[in-house]
Amino acid sequence: MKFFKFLLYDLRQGFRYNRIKYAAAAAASACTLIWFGLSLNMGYRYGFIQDIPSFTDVAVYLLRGTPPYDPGYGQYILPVIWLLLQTLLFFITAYYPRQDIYQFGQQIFLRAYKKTSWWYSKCIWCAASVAVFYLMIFGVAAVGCLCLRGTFAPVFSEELASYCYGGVFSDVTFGQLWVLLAGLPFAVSLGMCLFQMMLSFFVEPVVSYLVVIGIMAASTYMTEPWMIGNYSMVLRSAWIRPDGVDTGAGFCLAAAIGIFSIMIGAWRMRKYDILAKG
Amino acid sequence: MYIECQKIEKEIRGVTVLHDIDARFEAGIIYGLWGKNGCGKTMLMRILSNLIHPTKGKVIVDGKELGKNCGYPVSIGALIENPAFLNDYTGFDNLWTLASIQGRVGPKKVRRAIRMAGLDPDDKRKYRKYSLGMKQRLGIACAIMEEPEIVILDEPINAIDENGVKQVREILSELKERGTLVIIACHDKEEMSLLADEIYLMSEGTIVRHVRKEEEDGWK
Repeated sequence: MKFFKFLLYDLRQGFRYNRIKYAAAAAASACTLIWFGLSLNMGYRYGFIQDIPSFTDVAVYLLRGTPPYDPGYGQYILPVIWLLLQTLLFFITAYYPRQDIYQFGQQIFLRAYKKTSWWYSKCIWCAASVAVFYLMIFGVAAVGCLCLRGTFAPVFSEELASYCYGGVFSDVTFGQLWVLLAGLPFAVSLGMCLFQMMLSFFVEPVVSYLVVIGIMAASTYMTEPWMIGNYSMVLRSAWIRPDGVDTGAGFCLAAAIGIFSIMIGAWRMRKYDILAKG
Repeated sequence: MYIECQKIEKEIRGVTVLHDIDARFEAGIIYGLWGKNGCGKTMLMRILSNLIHPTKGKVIVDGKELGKNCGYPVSIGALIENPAFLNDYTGFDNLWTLASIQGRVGPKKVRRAIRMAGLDPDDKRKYRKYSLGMKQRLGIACAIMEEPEIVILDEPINAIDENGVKQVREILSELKERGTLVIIACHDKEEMSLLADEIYLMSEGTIVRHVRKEEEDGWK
């Protein structure tokens, strides 16, 4: 019962603390969709495309990432919107735990009996934050679809994908696409946010933030199975292209990072000194 | 209820901030920690409330070793250094958020604690509008509201006016009557001699003397 009360406190306070950051992420997504809309209008005007966008098309546009980069062939394209959304998500989960532990959270600690209870509550808060973040992105995508007079039918358009960003989706099913849109990015983001949170109790939060952003940015350059950011980009999946990364491996890696982070964090919290300032 | 420190030592980033700390605190007595700034009073209080861990030695609370047999003392209220509450909440809402975690006291007792500390429980001002003295008073109310068995107050009369100091004395008196184990730190020697029954004098990270009220010459 007590743990449930910590959790309620964290969910309430954590979201209050981050409401402006969520709004910034929603605004960034909305701006991207305005650009998407302008591209579609151009395509319709000159007869390049005819398909109406679906909700899935809009969501893919936001979370697509970039195709694998081969240094010997082709040009490196920085996935600006994907990286921006990752940056904002890690920013949302970066500071609240450390902020809390040195302020009001100290009084919570004294009533917790165990520091690990505090930690597990923060882990659940982290998962809820990531879930809300993705729900918010899909919410913006839904509004964007309505504004573009699109459809919510379970379809996606290869024509629009090819026109907007050169994507080829001929071999992927609708269900698989939604695993790549919702399941895998959520798992990867959760694993990395937990890793960031754990790391922030060994180094300063800004350092842990830069580490995870560095890993995600490096992933855009290297299509290696151990660079976890690859699994979060729809266009790098083996379901989309033969040189892509394996979906199952992505889930396993994300789960391993998440579980490792939770365990190390719990161990760290048992002996963590809460001094006057972080 | 008792707390016993056995050979406590604390090192932070290679610097020894506490060493050779042996002390015993019993229920129903008000203990004072007195010493210059930086002598280790706050560090010791943090160790007693298990916010930090001793590098060596142990803290025994009622026969259980802190950090080994138990996480935190079961019943403790603490105000250590500057109080920190939620800026967007009123004083009552802040304390009620905390009180509802353990569920040991209802809103009546929370309101009573706020009144005892000299504040108005119905004050609609948010915490961010509080003066330093009001924040300190809220911190004291937070420490006592759940009627804990152990109360630790670090410089409770900081930023508080004369009337407030009187209220703090009354609070400590009531805590003592209830059999609470009270540990306070205060830089004001005169005030300490009025508030505390026994004093541990600290210097350079260790306890140099332990005096009782009847031995007034010990700390004058």
